[in-house]
Amino acid sequence: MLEPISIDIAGLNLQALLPMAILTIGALALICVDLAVKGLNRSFLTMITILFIVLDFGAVIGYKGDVRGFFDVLLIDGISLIAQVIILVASALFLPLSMSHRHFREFKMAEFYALFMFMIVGFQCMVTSDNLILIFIGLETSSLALYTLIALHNRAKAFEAAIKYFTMGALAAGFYGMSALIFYALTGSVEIHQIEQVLQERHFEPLVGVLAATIFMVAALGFKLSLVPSHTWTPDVYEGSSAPLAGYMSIVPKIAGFVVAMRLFEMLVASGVVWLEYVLYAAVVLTMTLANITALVQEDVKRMLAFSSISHAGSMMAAILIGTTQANTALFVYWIFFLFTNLGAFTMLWIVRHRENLWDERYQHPYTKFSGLVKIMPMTATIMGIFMFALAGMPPFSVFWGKLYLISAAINSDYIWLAVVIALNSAVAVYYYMKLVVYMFLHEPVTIDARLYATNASTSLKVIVGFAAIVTIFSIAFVEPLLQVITHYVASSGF
Amino acid sequence: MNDFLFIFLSFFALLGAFGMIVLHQPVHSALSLIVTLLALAGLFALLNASFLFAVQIIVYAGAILTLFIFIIMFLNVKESNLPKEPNKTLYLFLGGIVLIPLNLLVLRAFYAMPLLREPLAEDFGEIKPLGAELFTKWLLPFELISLLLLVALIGAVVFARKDEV
Repeated sequence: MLEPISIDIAGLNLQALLPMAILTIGALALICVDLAVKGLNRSFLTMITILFIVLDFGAVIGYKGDVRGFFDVLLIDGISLIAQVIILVASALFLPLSMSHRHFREFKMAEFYALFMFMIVGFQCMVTSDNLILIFIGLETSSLALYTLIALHNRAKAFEAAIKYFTMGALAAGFYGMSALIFYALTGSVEIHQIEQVLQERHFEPLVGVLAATIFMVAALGFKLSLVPSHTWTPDVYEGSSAPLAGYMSIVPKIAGFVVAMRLFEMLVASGVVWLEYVLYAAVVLTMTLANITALVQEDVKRMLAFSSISHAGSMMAAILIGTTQANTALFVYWIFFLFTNLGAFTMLWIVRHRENLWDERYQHPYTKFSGLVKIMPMTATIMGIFMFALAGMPPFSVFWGKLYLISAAINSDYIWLAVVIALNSAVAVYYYMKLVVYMFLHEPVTIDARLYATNASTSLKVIVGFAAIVTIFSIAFVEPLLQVITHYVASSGF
Repeated sequence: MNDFLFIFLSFFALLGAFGMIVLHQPVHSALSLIVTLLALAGLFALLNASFLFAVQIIVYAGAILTLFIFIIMFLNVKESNLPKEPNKTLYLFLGGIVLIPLNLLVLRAFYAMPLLREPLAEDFGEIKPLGAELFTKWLLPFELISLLLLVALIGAVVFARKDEV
């Protein structure tokens, strides 16, 4: 008969599961409570979800334990801790955007919050593992939850966006599976550190196999990170989903994807095989440049922000291409600042949201909507202007520091051309961000009815915008300590 | 004999997949997919993966495809509701041409793969070692899949009762 299997509980490192367990329990509890109690209040649901996110945050911050857990499936190293902190902070800041002045159907449903928590669990699994299977399951869990969240926004365009995202996501999942399969067939393992070991022993032979696996992986992760040429879904999906989710999508799935890309591609770039580097180089330069050029001709602010987030993701891939500790630190610092700036910009769009497309038949937030805003609502226009300046990378606002550090990392490791491309692209990007500022400050207003611009404003939204603005403006004070902490964690995990 | 069976099964797997894309009626496509799945089950059997063979037939061909067909019939799609697909053959042909380099790459990659030298274990492909693996080393991913399915389930339920709220 079956012989008993004995497993050492202490060796499992169950503590490593605590962060994911907290949110899973929270989500399950929320669904059960919703079954018993009908008509739970929107603010109650938001607060309870944030409470669980804060508990999770505590578990992540206070984590002291082995790096490996659960038969080496989990890997909790420095970059996974930083990534989890970014994911949780972003989630806790984007979720309260549900407390807008207008009531939306999806924010009354307990399922929305439960799916939101499941989504965070998925992202956490993605970043706390170097096992291709667990990464895949985390990726799919979070993606499935995200598709549903997008479609819950009760607009025809939201369905279109969700279905587009789902179809492209299914294709990317297929690519991911293909790539993992080839890696497994090549090396007999699905764990990235073992794949690296075996490939290095064999000097990356057979090369054509590694090439095939890399190309499929670039396609799969490139979809999540919206790298050219798999970026085409981004503007449509952002336009279709509500502003809070669009902003969320521009930050959190990408940081999870970057951590996976960092674990996988840096081992490939370090192999010294030249074309592996060229594949990534081409993806990085194309993503930054094409996205910037397309952003120039956009007529809608949300679509412009979508293309701008693609271009920012391109410069992040540059950090992964460079692959030094400084570049990886730059990636996280850049993304933290980008988080707060994008949070502000998308919250502003959420505040000025109006049920009908008053300004343009096709777009919800055309540039003309904002013309002369400074004469109607000077405060709103100024804050929006600050976020645009920050996104354009102007000193002393937040994103500038990330860019500066990234470019210096590129120069330090002799990627002069890459540094030039990043700098040129920032110069191009200034044009489309400033276009909005010009509309707001130099054009004549089309309407003088200020209420049209504040239909969705509420105290909690204003608090979040204020917080984002403060972080954006006074970022100079945080740069040094942030750099030190992140450099410590990144270096400790060997990246 | 093995080679003949392999070619025979592969032919039907490809034929089924081709039919699934080309056929116009959803029901026909789903039926065509069953051919592919059964042929794949046969390929698993050729590889001595007895458990996967059973799962492929019971779960995929048996349960999932039945569900597909059930839903398609339940929706009762009329001919007039189906999308018109002008130039479908042309697009499929062009798409096929675009994918040729990718296919060549995968093909060459698989020909270059290192081959397995050691003989397989006695109980390879049986349910017991598979279960032992799933419930020890792969316990966490295995349990997380239940979370994945739960997310999909909640999503489906939310949409199904959408109009009542």
